[in-house]
Amino acid sequence: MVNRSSSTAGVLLDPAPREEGARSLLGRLATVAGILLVSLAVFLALSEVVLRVYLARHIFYDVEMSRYATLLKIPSPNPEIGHVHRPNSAARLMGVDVRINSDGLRDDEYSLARNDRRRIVFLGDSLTLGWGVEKHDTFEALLEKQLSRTEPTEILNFGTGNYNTTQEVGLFLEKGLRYQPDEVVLFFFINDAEPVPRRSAFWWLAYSRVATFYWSRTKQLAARFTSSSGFREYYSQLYRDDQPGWQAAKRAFLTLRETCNAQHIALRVVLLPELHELVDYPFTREHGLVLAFLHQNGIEALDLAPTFANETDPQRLWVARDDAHPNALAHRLIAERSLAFVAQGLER
Amino acid sequence: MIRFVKRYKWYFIATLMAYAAVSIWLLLSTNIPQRVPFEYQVF
Repeated sequence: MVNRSSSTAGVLLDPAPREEGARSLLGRLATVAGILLVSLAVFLALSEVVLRVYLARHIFYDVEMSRYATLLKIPSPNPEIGHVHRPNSAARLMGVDVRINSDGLRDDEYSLARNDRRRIVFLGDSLTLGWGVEKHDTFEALLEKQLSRTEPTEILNFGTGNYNTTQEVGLFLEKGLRYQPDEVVLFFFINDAEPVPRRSAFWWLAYSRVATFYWSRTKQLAARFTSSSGFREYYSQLYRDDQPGWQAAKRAFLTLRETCNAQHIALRVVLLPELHELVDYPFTREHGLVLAFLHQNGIEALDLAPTFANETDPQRLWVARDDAHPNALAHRLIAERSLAFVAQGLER
Repeated sequence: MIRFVKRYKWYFIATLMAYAAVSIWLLLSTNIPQRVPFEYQVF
């Protein structure tokens, strides 16, 4: 005769069935995790191949920036500069050839010794570099051609992607000064008040197209949900008085002014427009802050944003739909509108 | 490993399809005019 109650109690008290159940649950979880991980590894490997094949004919801005970082940039031993161009390197980026000379400039070779030409140094970031624009279409090349009509002139393009004002001035002190220019023109962009970028611990992931794609697109998507005003709010907050990037930019301007004064070099600053919205320009206040600071400190400056105020279709000035850098047309307009200002610096 | 993959091959195929769907959704939903600050270094 079976005592039902004592049998049930025995099962409940016996740990073996419970352990078996737990083991079975763990086994199932391990199987699910195995399926997810193995298929993820297969998927990432396949995606890398598919993306590389696709990107042979199409261009993604974020992937191109990763390629720029891995192919043409190297860390600088100077922490104030952060990174410089890899000397004698070349790559096709955003559909155009970018060639870096032996001194790390996207430019021809120049001797340090002066010749009979007037010499100007252009400082700036990726806009001055001519990101997404053929070398001969950059405002640097157009201005050099235009200025040479009256008197032979050479312009050395120190524009480097991802630079802020501190880095631009640091590069000039380290390399530009040796070229003994007659004039320095710094092309300022709204994000030049960002802090000096630090190299990520995950920099090696930039070699993977698929890692770049997922990381960048996920961040873009997150930014859309977390910030209603996106780039406007981001750029505006850079100019708060407590922002170290803006404070560093001001110090860099003063250092550049002192150096140029000591070497009898003309110094001029051109403020380039941010090309998202030009009719009702959202950064008038920030440009005003920069202009006021420069004027207070005796630095000649020209703001180009108001000269673009009639542009109702800013995207026609963009390099690509996913890249608001100025295209060849915008470079031509910048060259036309800054020509007289740049030329004045040579008249001293 | 091969036995494991063979045993659960339909689960693998379904998971791969799910990853692909998420990726295509990510691509399409970010295929818009740039409206974030310039990203110079993804990493």
